[in-house]
Amino acid sequence: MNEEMRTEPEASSALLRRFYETARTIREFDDRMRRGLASGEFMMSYWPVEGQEAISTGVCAALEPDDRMVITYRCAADAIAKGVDLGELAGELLGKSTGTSGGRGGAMGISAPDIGLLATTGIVGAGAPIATGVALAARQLGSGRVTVVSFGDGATSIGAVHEAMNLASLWQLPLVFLCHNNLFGEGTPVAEYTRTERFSDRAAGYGMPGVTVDGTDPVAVHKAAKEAVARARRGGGPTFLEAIAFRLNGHYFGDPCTYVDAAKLEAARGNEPIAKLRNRLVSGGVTAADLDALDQRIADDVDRAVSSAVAADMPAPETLYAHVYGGTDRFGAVSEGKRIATSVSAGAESELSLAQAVNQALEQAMARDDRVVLLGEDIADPMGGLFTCTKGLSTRFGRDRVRATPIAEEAIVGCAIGAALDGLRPVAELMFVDFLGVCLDQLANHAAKLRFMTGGRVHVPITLRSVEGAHSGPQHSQALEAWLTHVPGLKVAVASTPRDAKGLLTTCIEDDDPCVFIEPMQLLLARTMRGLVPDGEIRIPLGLADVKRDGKDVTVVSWGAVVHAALQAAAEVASEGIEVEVVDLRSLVPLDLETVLASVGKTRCLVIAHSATTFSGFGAEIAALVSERCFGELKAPVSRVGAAFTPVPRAHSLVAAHSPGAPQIAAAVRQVCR
Amino acid sequence: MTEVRIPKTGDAVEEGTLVEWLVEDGARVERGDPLYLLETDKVAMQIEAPSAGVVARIGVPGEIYPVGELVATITERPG
Ligand SMILES: Cc1ncc(C[n+]2csc(CCOP(=O)(O)OP(=O)(O)O)c2C)c(N)n1
Repeated sequence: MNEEMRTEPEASSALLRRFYETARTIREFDDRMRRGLASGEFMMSYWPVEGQEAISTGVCAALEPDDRMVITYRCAADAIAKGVDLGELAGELLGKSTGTSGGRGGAMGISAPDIGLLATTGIVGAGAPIATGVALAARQLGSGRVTVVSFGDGATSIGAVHEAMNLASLWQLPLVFLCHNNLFGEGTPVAEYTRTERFSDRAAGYGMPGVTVDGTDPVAVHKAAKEAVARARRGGGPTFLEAIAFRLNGHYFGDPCTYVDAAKLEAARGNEPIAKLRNRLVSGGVTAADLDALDQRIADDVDRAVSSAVAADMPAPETLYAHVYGGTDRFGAVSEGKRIATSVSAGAESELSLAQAVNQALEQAMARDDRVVLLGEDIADPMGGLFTCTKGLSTRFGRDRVRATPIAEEAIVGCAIGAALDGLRPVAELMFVDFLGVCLDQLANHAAKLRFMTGGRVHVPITLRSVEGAHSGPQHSQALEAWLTHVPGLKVAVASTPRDAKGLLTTCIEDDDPCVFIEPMQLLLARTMRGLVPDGEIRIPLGLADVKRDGKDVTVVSWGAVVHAALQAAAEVASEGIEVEVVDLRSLVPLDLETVLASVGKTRCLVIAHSATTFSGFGAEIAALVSERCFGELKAPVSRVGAAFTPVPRAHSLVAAHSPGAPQIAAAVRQVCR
Repeated sequence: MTEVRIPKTGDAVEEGTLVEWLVEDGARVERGDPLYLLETDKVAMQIEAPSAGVVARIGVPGEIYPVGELVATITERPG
């Protein structure tokens, strides 16, 4: 029994009544949604919560208003218990402008930071890594807040949850893992997807306490949640709290539930939380009439809220581009007409490698802004990162701000996202860009989309630094920028010189949107690739290409390491009387189309050279844009030089056949201006 | 007046068959009373009255209707 209940009978009945009110509101709202769906009034994705009301009720009653939650598509119970406005919740489900996220997120995108509900995800298990970051922000900023991440039983099978549990325990983060065990992962009963009998047993494997409670009893849930929250708040680290309550409806509205055992469902209906709670109140002396009046008030509140949502407008079509990126209400991928100049503070310059330039950008950003924290594998001293880009930083700024992580890319990126949601400016390192596949969900579905799917209520100022390898075989040498430029919401920069690296990285860190910053491996440490870098601050805006060599005959557009091959090719054909202009894009999104078009307008010949495969490479986008804008002015078809459509081989002989270099670029140049 | 339309019972579901009425035309129903049987490629379900009142049937048993088609109305009458 709950402590309060033992010592303070008055307060305890007040608490029970509060539980009843919350749970009853959830039930009424869920009913109203399903009623609207059944009558054809609503058409939307909706995941019913009937049966699970007491879980959210008990947990949220253990939280302070300012505590944080990250929840799932099965959102209504958690969101209502946390205190979301019912009209805004209904509005979001219905896709209305009055929704929590202005109708951009739906059930998978409920966000109400004012009540601590930071984010919702439609990707099973994906909230857990993000929640580690929210908890990290609380720790780092000393806010004293606790974070709860809720997910279903099915989510316990996915890697993201395990990575997050390990990280949260390692760092003793103020976090509660709340598993709503409703006994089904979509259409599969628990026993058909795991041999684990109690999910909370898994907690021990990560060195954290785990507890399982009856999820139909808000008092039991509340008691366990209070302990977990208190532990988190006093610095005792995370807890895994499993609450079991049978899902009384389909996975979604219309689910035929062919996989549900009818007898068990019947039994569960007989044990449903709200009737039990009502009986408890009545046996404690509350009159049925009193509760009926409360029920009626709740029904009226829900009706009013839903009616207001039904009556509300849908978002205007012309607002489509709002909240894809910060500070823009229109297409943010092309930087036309929005050019800002590079800013460099006066002072000396030093010759640095690209790795040293990165290090300097990080060091200066950290010195300027306490909110900048670094996350990544091996990034702390003595190693200072595989390529020494973070060398010395943990020694100078401490291991709280330079956080060496487990080898867990989803956790690294998710943690960065969550920390960014709640006030930090994380810079995460992905050792090789080839590992994008391991964390792409966090990057593409969460970092890129959270601003949009919350209607701008949160944003994700993270920088993901990564190395594009070379000569390291099929899984450590890929150029994968096209995976990233395809995702609205991300910004993508690639450095080709130490100076650009410092200036671009500084801008990425200060940018309010998620930026991926790519460092080509062959440029990182090579003596021949050193260059002058301002000792002071330098900021190169994203969306500002750099003409690395002037010429009037052919434009070569390139980025990253291939810029150097293009410059070599330009030198080579210069002796034949061909003057090549080399445009280094520096950022692919936003794209400085203006500089490209100006150059092509002059040369009327275009070659695009990049290290990624030609087929479906980002060069195809540039070729298309240029053809659309100035087809009539081109003297020759646009030519693309990229890698063969094969994995990157190990053997040097095969690499030579696979990857473009100066000779291929020179040949393409000769071809287009013949 | 409450409209009763063919519901969308799943992401890929675009139509449904009104299999059978479970109330007489003009009958009075309470919210939650059985109204009609719906069948789609995925599911057969009993649709309940979304509100109390007098039912005016529009849909014809055996017909296949697109999602969103009006098949009945329920009008609240005092008393
Ligand atoms: C990564 C991922 N895989 C599959 C799905 C499809 N899906 C949506 S909900 C769901 C069931 C998840 O079950 P559980 O975690 O128990 O949560 P519940 O739906 O019961 O709340 C599945 C498989 C998804 N959204 N994300």
